Amino acid sequence: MTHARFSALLWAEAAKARRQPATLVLAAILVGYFVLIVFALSSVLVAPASSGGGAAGLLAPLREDAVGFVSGILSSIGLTLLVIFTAQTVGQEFSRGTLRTLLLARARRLDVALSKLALLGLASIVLALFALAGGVAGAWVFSRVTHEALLSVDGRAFALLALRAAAGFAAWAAIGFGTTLATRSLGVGIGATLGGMIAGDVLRGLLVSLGTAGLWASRALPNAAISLVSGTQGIDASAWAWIVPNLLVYVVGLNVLALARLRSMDVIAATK
Amino acid sequence: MNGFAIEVDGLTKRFGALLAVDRVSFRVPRGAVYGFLGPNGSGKTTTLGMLTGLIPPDAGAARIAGRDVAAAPAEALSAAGALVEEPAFYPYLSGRRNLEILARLMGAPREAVGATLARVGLAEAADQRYRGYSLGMKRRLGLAAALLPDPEVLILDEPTNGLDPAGQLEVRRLLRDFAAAGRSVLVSSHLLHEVQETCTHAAILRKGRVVAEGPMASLLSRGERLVVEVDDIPRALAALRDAPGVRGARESDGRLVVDAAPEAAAAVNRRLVEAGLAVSALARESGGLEERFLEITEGDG
Repeated sequence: MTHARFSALLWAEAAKARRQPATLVLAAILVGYFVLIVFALSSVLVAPASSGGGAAGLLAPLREDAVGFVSGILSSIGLTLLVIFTAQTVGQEFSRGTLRTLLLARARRLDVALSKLALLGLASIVLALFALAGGVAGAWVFSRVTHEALLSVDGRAFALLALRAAAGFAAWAAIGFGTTLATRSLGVGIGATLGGMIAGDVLRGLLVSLGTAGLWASRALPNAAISLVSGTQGIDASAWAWIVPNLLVYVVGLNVLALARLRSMDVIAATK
Repeated sequence: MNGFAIEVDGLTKRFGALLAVDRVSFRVPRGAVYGFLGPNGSGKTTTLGMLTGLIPPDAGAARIAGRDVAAAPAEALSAAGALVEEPAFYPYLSGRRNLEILARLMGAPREAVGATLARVGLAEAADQRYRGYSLGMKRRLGLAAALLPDPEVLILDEPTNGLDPAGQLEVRRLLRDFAAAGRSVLVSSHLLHEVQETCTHAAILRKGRVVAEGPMASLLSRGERLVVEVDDIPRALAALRDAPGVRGARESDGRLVVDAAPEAAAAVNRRLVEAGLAVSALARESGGLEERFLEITEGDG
């Protein structure tokens, strides 16, 4: 065999992700967060109205769409954890020097990067399924404790939502991947991606509040395109006309630049 | 395919204003143990990095078993096992698990993992996590990774760093056995006696350039000199001034040390006798690799 097979690299990525303690920690945080929000919301749902706090108003969106409500919360925390996982997956190969070991084991640079992207795609799908399954489980628990019909699931809608959520996760993971790879830094990868997510959302909100011109300007941010792709509302042809170029620039463009940098990278200096 | 396991032609690398490697060329014959020597910062690791595709060169070319490294690094490494810089493995995995991952990438059989771990003396620690390994154990695992694919060519960067004397001896034996089977080794080291004992060929690097290269015997012969016991050393020094074939002379421990090729011994003797001096002994002496290395790299850090 002249070089490492892509399937072997994929297997190696999966084996590393499965065995590294950080994966378990991130998964435990996500599950713990799910248990916490279901427990907290259940307590609020069954609390007597006289306990105050204006809970009825706050819980209206939950009563309207319990599955979507819980899934939305899980997606927020899940996305943050996915960005951390992404930066670790890439950045630690540099900080530990193991990228050098993989290349000396006859792995091609592009194959190493693509196998990691494939792993992140898989992680995005798993996370989307977990968020939606968590939403269903949460709604089921709420129905049991309130004796209200809060659980309603349409299989086709569920599949579509999972697909769109996974696409959103994958887009942010790809941005985190490109940023970490281009800068060779776990810290910069996490900071820049999470910073972009948060600051971009704030800026988008401000721009949209300025009216039509602001709405158009907000479409230059990756947050606008990814939010629409991963959301529940329909996307018409005119929206795709700006979503596609937006994603091409931020997701594809950034990663093409990062892969070009990896191709000519001095791996010894990069791991010092 | 020619008779060289490794061919390096004019490799050059610049880091900003620093010319780290300057037109380095050498050839490692098949079956040779080739030592790569140089002071810290002389460009050894950068050269090995370019040779293994880890560092893109600014100029020059390298071939391993006839395969061009720049064109397809992974393919060029298919005949080689390499350890460049410090060993780096996944700390949360055991030594065995780390090697299993690499075996899969290299297409080596899984059974080779246990045998290779035993070969480098890590059989008992194979199932311990890498993060718990000592420096010497990490180095052994790095060596195991290089040996795992049963390569034709072994490229090792300071393989005995961090090993105790027994471990160093084991590695030297391993390299000799490896070459005895007709395979080739390129090894960088700062342990000169080790290189002199183990290597059949060597190159000495200074400030990014190869300043001496060739079979070990030839390198050592270039460091040979004549040691003369004579009754009046100051007069002898005067007599040898301007003598043909004599590059220099000095007194050392009551003896006259003449920097000249062994072939000049008769002429030196004649010149001293003609000057009326009594020569009681004249012998060849080899300075050894260490002295030769220091001569060449004098003044470097």
